[in-house]
Amino acid sequence: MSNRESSKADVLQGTLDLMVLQTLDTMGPQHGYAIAARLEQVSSGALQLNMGTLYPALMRLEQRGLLRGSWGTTDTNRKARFYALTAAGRRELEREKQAWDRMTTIMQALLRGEA
Amino acid sequence: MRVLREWIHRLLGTLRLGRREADLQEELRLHVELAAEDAQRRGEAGQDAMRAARLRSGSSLGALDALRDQRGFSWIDELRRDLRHGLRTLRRSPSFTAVALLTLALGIGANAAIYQLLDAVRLRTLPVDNPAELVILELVDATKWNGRRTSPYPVLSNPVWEQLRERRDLFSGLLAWSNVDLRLDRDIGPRLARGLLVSGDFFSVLGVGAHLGRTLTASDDRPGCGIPGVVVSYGFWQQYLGGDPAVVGRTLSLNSRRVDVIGVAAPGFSGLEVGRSFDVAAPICSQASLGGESSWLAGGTVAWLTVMGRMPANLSLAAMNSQLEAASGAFFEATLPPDYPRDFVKGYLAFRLRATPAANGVSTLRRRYADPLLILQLTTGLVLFVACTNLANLVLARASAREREFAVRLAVGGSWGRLVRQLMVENGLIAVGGAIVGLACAVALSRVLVGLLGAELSLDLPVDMRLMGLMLGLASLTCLTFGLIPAWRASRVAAVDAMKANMRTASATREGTGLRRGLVVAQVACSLVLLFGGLLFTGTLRNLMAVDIGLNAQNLTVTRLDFSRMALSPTSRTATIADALQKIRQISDVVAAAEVRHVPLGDTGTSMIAWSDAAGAPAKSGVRVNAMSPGGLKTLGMPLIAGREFDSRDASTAPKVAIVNRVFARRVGVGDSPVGQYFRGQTSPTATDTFQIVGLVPDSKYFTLREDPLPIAFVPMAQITDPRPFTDVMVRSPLSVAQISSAVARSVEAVSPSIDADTRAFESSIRGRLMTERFMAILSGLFAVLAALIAAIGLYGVMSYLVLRRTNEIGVRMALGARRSDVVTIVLGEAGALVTIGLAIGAAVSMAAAGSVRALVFGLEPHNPLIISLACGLLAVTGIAASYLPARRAANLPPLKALREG
Repeated sequence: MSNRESSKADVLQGTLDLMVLQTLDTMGPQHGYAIAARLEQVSSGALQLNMGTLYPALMRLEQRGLLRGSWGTTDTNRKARFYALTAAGRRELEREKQAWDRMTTIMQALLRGEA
Repeated sequence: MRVLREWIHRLLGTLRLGRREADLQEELRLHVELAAEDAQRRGEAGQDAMRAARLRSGSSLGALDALRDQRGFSWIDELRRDLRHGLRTLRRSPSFTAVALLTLALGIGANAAIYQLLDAVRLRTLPVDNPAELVILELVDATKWNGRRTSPYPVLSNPVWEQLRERRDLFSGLLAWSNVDLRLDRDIGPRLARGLLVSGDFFSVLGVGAHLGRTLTASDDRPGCGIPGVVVSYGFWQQYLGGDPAVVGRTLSLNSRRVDVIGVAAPGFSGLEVGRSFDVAAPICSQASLGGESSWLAGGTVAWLTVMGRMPANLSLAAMNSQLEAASGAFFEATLPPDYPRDFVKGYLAFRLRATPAANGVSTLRRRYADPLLILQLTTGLVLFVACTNLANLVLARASAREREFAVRLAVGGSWGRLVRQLMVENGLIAVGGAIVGLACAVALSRVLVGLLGAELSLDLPVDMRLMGLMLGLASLTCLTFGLIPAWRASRVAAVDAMKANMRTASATREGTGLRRGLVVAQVACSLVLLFGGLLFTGTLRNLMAVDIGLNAQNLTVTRLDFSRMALSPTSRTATIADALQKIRQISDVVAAAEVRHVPLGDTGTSMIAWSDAAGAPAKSGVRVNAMSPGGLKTLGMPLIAGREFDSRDASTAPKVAIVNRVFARRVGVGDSPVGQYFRGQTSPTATDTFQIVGLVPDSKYFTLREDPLPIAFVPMAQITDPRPFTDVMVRSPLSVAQISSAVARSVEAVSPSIDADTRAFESSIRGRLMTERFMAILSGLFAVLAALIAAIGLYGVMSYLVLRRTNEIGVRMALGARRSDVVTIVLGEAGALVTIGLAIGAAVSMAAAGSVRALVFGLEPHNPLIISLACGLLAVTGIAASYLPARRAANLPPLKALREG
């Protein structure tokens, strides 16, 4: 059951959430495939998102009120569900970014000190 | 907050208010399409692009599952999906579902109905405060009581009760009561009210309060009270007094006296007797006014009060009884009636009292029906067991057929737990459905059963929580029994084996066959036990119906003449009855008519101690007495062996005469031709008389059909005193009961319009007394047939399955020259083996259990080899018949086809 993930998954999930929020912030409203393609492109193919990972995450973010999804049409004239950041989503993105920065600073200090 | 918000969304999603399934699918489809386009753009074509897209995006089904999980609370969703899938699966096999539901409903329904009855007459405690403290006081050897006893329950005389009442140290509370029929005004409804005469503190000792007004108190119950007032039961108040809130102070007419209603008893309390609820309760002292000619208050020889006490806390029953034993001497010393015959004084003084637990109240109903009901409960338990094994068999058969489905699901990654859960849901649906249908059946069935037991019976049969609990318990037990076996078996099916085209070689299947054979053996064994019981009880009923009762029951009616509206003196009563008899005899087609003191095979009787003064005669012995007017023998159809009938010579002032039966002559020692001989009899507790025997008749039944012939002395009606305000007239006539009834009513009307006449057929009242036996015979027979039928279905199913499994072997045998008859022999041989094992087990169990029903069986030896053989034979024939169809199907297989399928 998905509401009982392990702590490891929480970290990954948190990361994925942050990536999705940041992508939408950069690119504006996007459908799921575009988000996945963008992340794959940014990571040079290292990050291939499974539908089973991406869409539940989108739904979860939507349920939390960070995204709002609505049906629209793509540039190739296809019906697609577009996700847009809400105000709460933007605030959450800021908070998460700061938390991430703090964490990476700590990690870098720790790892460099060790080396 | 965010988490709360997510949960609200999920809840909405669970309630199907979130995004719809098609919406999700559409989104995923687009994802794959876009991925495929990308792949095409990178130079991959057609199928390859699609495959690349799928590889990159992962499984749509998996994603859909994950989405569903995220959308709602998955377990609710999954349960709902399981339920829907279960319902769909069951709907797809309607015959399986119908058979399963029906067997379960019948099994559960029968169990619950019998349990309801058993609970009502046997298990339920009285609705009073601390019923476990109640004990009933009885004479240690009540059969030695020299005088009247007015109740089938333990009873004491009023003087003894008054002595006991004074000993406040023995009990923490003491009460006495007696049943009495009271005549109500016609305008109120029932002509006879079920009355209770109770001691003053009856209600307070029981802790039963008043719904309206007040209950009786000790100050109401004092000698010479007249009728100070009555408390009516809640049911009576509701039904006959219209629930009148101003009922207190209203007057009722009881036995033609005006009596005030002083209160309504609390709802739920209907007296201390199970099966007879009371209407009105008056203090014991009212007996002097209500009882008419005979007052029992001072009489030391009439035992009519049932005395119950509350045990003081921290006193054991044994300690209580030793205290009672010690105190008894004084009680009987103080109450010895002054004119008591010398011979019996020693016996009277030797009486001792004993206390026995009475938390469940008293009941003749319980005495009559508790054992039969318990046996029926065991019977229905067996039926349910057979039903369950049959269900297990059915489900196993289905599971075998679905093993491939299960295996495929496990192979493509379905979880085993999920599979088990789904099977449990499927069987749970059957169990719950069966329980609901069963409950409906039970309610209807127990009503029918109570109707069979007797219309005048008042039993509380609420659908209570315990019953619901029992039903659910039975349902879940059965659910577990037959839900888990296939699930467990499915888990052991190796996917590869199950996937093989040839299922018949799968190893797990052989194991399943063993289980199914075992179940069939158990079914046959249980059915045999039930069939044996059914035959025993049917045989008992047949024997009882064929019993020679010593008189001719055909064309005989009984008319109850009731004079209580007339206020007759004893002399005018005799004249009135003579007048009425005269008129009845004049009705054309009336062969004979006579008044009788006790209708044979009725509930009442009189006993007397009789002896002969002749030298060498046996000691005194107890005999039964009945009185009849001249023409009585002719009316009853009893042939005279020697001597004469009573006639006008035998008047009240003439020398006492008697007609005796053969057992009497032997027991009292008046020889084989006793006519003209004399014997002496103790006619009342204080008087003896000498009788001359004027006639000898064959033995006849007195109380019941089951009894061994009792010694009976018939005496002339004119020579006894009969204080009853009613009497019974028997009429022999070829006319129908309805014709006789109206003709007699007209004749009686001509004597006095104030006499009430109620006519019934004598034969139907005998049949009424066989109710328990009829009940047992019908129900046990029905259950036996049911079980045999179920077992036959089970056997048929298993044999069909075995034939299917051995198709290949049969093909080979036929190819090698086996004839069709050989094939039939093989299949029937296998069925025969199963049936034989089952019959052997069943016969052993039957023989072991037979002794316990001895008391309910009549004219048969319970360990009856004939009956057990008959039962075996019947079941064997049924079994062979059930296996013949599969056997013939096997024989008719085209050998080539059988080989190919193998």
